[in-house]
Amino acid sequence: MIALLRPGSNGRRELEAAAIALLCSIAIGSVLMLAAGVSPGRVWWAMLERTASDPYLLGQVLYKATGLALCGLAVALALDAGLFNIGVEGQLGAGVLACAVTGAALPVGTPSVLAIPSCLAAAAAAGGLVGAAIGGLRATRGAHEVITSIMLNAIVAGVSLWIGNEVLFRGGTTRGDAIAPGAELPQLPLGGSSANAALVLAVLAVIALWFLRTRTTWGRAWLAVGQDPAAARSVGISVARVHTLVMAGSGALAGLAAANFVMGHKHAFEEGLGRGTGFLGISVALLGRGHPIGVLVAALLLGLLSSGGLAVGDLVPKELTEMLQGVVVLSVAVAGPWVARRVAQEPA
Amino acid sequence: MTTERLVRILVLVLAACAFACAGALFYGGMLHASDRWMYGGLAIAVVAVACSFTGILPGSTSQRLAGSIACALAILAGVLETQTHSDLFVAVASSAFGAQVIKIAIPYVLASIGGAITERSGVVDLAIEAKLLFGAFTGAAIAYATDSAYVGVLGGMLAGMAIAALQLGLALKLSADQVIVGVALNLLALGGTRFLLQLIFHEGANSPPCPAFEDAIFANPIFWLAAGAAVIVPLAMRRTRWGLRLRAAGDRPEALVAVGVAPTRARFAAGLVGGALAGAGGAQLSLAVGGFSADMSSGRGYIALAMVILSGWRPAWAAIGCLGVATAEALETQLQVTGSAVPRELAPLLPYVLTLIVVVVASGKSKSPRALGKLE
Repeated sequence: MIALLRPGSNGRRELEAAAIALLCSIAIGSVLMLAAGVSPGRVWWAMLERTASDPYLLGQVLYKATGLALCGLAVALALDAGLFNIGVEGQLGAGVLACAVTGAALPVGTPSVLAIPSCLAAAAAAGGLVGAAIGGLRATRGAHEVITSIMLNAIVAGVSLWIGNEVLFRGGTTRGDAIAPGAELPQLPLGGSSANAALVLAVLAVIALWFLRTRTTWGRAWLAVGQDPAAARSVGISVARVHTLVMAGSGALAGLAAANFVMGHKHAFEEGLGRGTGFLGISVALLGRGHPIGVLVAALLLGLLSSGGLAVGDLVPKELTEMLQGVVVLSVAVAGPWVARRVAQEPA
Repeated sequence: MTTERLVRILVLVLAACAFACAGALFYGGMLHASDRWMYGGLAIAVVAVACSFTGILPGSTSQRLAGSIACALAILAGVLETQTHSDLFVAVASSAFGAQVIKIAIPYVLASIGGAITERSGVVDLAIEAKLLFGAFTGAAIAYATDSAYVGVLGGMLAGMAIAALQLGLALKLSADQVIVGVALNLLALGGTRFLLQLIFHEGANSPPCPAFEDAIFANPIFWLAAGAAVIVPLAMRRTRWGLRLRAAGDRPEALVAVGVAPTRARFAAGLVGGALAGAGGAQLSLAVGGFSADMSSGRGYIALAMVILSGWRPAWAAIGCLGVATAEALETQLQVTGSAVPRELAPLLPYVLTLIVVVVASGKSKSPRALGKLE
């Protein structure tokens, strides 16, 4: 079903599709800017120019891109196995809650060597659990992952708000106790922006995923399941197990994105922290054509778009960049098959 | 009439009684400010929803018998709880609760019938949410501009059709992945309606007030559209050329090709009608309260789709499932009003939890259109 979006062996074709999609999105975005009554050239230029000339804005791009890269990898991993994980939003939410609760529960003097891994583990476990639930339901009951994901997104958001209101939030705010100082990730020196060492985590995740899917039998197994579940089954791969495990891994990656928001920036549980990143992660994965490196580049691009959208807030309404996310996904969904058809028509 | 059929009717009748009992308990609970009754009503409604599905879905006779017994026990519990009070019947006679349920159910029903039509023609319809949201926005905007809620309904239907046309064009003409197109359109609708809100009304989250149908049921054309669709669409699917072609496009597109009809055409004919219905459902969202607010569809499209899947892609049954969801939602709203022990953050989750349970229980049992999501 998702076959046309999965990365093929043909890198040039994937690059072509991503480029076409990007150009389409820019064109549609320009039309929307014209509709809003501003000159598109001015907005795009201002977006680049303001971001490049201000270390703070540059840092914000990196901060956004870190979360987006991890969420994008989560979606890409599920796509590899033929699953469409739109539950990243909920998995990230579960990760944020678990990460902040663990961090706040640690004694103040906990050294970083202990605090950081335990917070990361909690985030990954919480996200992974939600993911595994979706994958498991798909594998055992045949429940469509898109529907269960949407329901779980809403349920996780509601439950974490409830837990926040009941137990965590302090003094009428929507902010919980601060995490132990040892669990805080160092900031990157970029004009006081929110960019932090979670960026390293994102890059490590990219490398790990790239290694797994190209160099190990696990990766080959999940790619095989994604290509053709029946064929995979016939060579002895348990499709149900792969689906469950891949969704658990995907959820864990999404949960890890909490490190960027909780450990790197806010240092506490906050209502709505990281919201929207999970959904934008879908655009990132599709634009990155499911390839780990592609996802990283796409995360930077969309990070630029969503942080740059704020930087040019005086020129265009910020809703425009929100809308562009949908446009990007649509463009990729169309550009992939279009390029594939053209390649098929080319004389050999 | 076979035993199987009798049992099936039995469980449905009992489930209907249980629904009535739940509503009555709830109303009684409100009159007496009794939380015990409220929870009783809630529990019975949940049992009734679950049991009516054992009647609807393909399953064994023993499962249906179990459903009937559960319903009967639930009703018995309800009656026992109220035996000392005689206003049970007063509450049943009061139509306010029923009116509330119907008002909530209209968008769900229209969305799920629209979704069932689109999916039966072989197109995965994840864009119901987008049709609802754009229908709601356009409905409110047109009603505001023309100062007539009736014209607003037409606007909502056209908006739904426009989204459907875009969806089908991308999915069928440009062979984009149908699931992804659906999700992308939903994202687009979320951002797009906010963008238009900003562009047209210079508002961030709410449109200015527009003419509304408010609590009227019988004076609301959307109600009649929903009721009519629930009756006519199943008939039309069986009896008209439109219906036969759309079902062929979903089950055996090659047969359609053999008689010289392009499946794509049948799918457009189906999808546009489905889009118009879902768009009208969206218009109900904004025209019932007299204004559009950002993200006002809040996941209803997905719940409607879950009901479509659950009903085995049968529009009338999907509509009944939606009534169940609407009952749950009406109960939950009442719980919030009366201030009960259920935390206010968790009460709105009831429809999602129910849908999740129902999808998990029912998936894999019902038969999807054979060519769903495939081209040609």
